[in-house]
Amino acid sequence: MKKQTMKRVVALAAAISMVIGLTACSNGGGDAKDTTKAADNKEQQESNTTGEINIGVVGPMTGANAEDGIGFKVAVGIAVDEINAAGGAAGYKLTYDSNDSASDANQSADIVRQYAENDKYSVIIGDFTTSCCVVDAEIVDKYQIPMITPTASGSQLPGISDWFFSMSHTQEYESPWAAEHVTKDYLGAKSVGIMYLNTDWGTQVDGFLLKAYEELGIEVLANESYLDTETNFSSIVSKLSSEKPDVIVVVDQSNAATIINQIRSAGVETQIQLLGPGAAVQIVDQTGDNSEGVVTNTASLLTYDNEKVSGFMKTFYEQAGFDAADHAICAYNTVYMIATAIENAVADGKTEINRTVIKDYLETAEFDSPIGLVKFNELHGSNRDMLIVAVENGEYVVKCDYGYFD
Amino acid sequence: MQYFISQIVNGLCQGSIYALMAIGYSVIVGVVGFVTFTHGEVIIMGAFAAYYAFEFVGSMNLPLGILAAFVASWLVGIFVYKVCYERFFKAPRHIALICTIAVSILLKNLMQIVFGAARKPMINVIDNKIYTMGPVQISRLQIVIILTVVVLSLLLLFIFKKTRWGVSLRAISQDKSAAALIGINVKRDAMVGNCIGSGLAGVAGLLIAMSYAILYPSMGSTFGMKAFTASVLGGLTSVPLAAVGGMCIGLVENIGITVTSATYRDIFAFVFLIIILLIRPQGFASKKGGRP
Repeated sequence: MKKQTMKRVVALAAAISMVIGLTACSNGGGDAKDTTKAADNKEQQESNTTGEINIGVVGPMTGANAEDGIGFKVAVGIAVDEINAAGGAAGYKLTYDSNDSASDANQSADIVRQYAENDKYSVIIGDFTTSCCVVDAEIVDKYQIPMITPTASGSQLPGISDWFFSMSHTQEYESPWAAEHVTKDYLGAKSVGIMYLNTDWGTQVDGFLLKAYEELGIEVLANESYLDTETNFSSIVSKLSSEKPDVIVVVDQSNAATIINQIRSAGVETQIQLLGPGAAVQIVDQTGDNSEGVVTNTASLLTYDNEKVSGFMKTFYEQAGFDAADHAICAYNTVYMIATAIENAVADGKTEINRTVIKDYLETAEFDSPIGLVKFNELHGSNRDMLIVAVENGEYVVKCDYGYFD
Repeated sequence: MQYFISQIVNGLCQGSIYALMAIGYSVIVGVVGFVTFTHGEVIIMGAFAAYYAFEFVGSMNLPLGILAAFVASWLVGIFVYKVCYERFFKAPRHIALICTIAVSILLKNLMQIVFGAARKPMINVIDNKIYTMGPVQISRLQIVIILTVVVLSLLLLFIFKKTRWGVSLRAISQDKSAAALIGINVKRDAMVGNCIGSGLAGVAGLLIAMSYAILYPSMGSTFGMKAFTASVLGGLTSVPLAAVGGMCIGLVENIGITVTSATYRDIFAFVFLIIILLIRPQGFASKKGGRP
C-alpha cells in the first residue's frame, strides 16, 4: 500500500514538473502573456487611448542563440523601466511582452502574426536572425505594424518593407569593410581560411568576403561551412590549418568561443579574425587565454570601464546572469528610438499615437545612445561606424578607433 | 597526407565518445527492453554535473568530474526508469517510448531553467599538449578521451563477464521471464542496468564538453540520436558491436568531411546507417532481429 502511494506521488511529481517545464518553455522564460486575435484590422489603426504603448518582443530565448534572445528581453526591460521611471515617453507608459522564436522562422512568424493581429501592440522588437526577419517583414508589411530588429544584418533586409527597420548595418557594408580594414590593412594578411555558419546570414557574409578578398588580392585557401547544430569543429580546423593561411576568419556569433577553444586546443596558433559576434565579453570569458590576440570589428565596445555603458552592463548582468554584448545594447537603443519617435510625435502636436505615427516618426528619430548616435537611413537600415579591437590580457582593446581608415 | 591522418585521429577521438554513448545506450536497451529518447539529455546532465563539481571544488580534477558525471547521470537514470519504464513493462511499447520523449523535453527545459541558457566553457580540464610522431599529430586531450573510453569499456566488460551482478544483467537482457524464474529481481536489476547505461552516458557528456570546450542544455539531442544510430548499427543490444558502431560513425563523419564539407556531417552518419541496414538489417550483429 505504502509502495503504491509512493509510486503515485512520484508519478504526480513527474507530471507536475513536466507541465511546469513545458509551460516555461512555451512562454520563452515565463513572462509572456496570451495574445488574442483582433476582431477587425481597422481597429489596429485606432488611437491608443490607454496611455500605454505596448511592445511585442520576439527573439530566440532557447536554442543556440538563447543568450542573444534573452539579452533582447533583458535589455528591453531595462530601457522600459528607465523610460517609465523618468515619466514615460511623453507621458505614455511603455510595456512589453516577450515570446521565444528559438531562431525558427515559422515560430517567429507565428509570434509576429499574433502581435500584429492584436491591436494591443503598437510596435514589435526582434527577431535576432535574418532568416526570421525576412519572413516577419512580410507579415508586418501586411498588418502595417512597425518592427525593428536590433541585430539582423542580411543584405535583403534594407528596403524590404516600409514597416521594417534595422538597427544593424548590413553585411553588404560590414563584410567588405572587415576584409579591407581588418584582414588587409590591420593584419596585413596575404591569405585566409574561412569557416562560416551555413545560414542565410553566414552564406551572405561568406559571399561578400570572397568577393572582397578577390578584389583585394587576398588568397582564400579554404572556405568551409557548417550547420548551426555543429559543436565539433576539429575536422574543419584540421582542414584549414593544413592549408596554412595567414589568418583564419571565423564567421559566426554563438559558436565563436567554442571555435576559438577548439582551434587552440588543436595546437593551431594561426591568427584568428572574428566576424559577427562583435566584442562580446562572453567570448573572452569562455575562452580564457585561448582568445589572446583574436581580432574583430565591432560597432561598440562594451566594458565596465566605459562610464557610458557600465551602468547598463551592471544592471544587465544582475538580471541576465551574463555580460551584455553589442546585440543587447542595440535592443536597449531600440526602445529609446521608439520613445524618441513618440516624444517627437507628441511635440509635433499628434494626439493619437498609433502604429502609423510610430512608423513615421521612427524614420526621423535620432537617439544619442551610450554607443553613439543612432538613426535610420532612407532604407530603414543603419550604417554604424566600426572599431577594430583585439583581445589583450583578457580584455578587448581598441586597436583602430572610429573613422581611422576614412 | 598529414591532413588525412589528422582527420583519422579526429575520427577516432570522436568515434570513441560515440562508442561510450552507444555502449550506455545498448546496455539500457538490452536490460530494460525499450529504446530511449532521454539519452541525449542524460549525456548533457552528466556534463553539467562535472562542470558544477569543478566549480564547487575550484579545480579541474578529471577523476572527480568523471565521478560527478557518473553519479548524477545514475540518479537521472533512476528518475527515467521510475517514470518511463517501471510501470510499463507489460504495456504496449509505444507508451514507454512516448514517456521517454516527454521526459527528454522535460529534462531539456528543466536544464535550461536551472542551469541557464548561456553557454558554459569547459576548458583546461587537462594541461593540453600536442604530440607529433611523423605525420601524426595527437593532443593530450584526445589521448585522455580515448583512454577513458577504453578503460570504462573494459571495466564494463569485466562487470558483465566476471561478476554475479553482470551475469544477472545479461540474463535479464536475454529473457526477463526466465531470469525471474531463477530468482533474479528483474525490476531492481533492470533499474541498475538503466543507471549503468545512464552513468556511462554522463561520462560521455563530460568527454564531449571537454573535447568541444563547451556545454549548454540543448546540445544533447544530436548526441542522443548518434548514440541510437551507433547502437542500431551494433544490433541494438550488443555492447561491443555498439562500440564498433560508434567508432565507425566517428570515422565516417570525419573522412566524409575531409572530401566534402562539415555541413554534411550528419548526412554521412545517417546515410552510412541506411546503407548498412539495407545490406544487413541486423546491423553488425550476426543474427537477425535484435532485441527488443
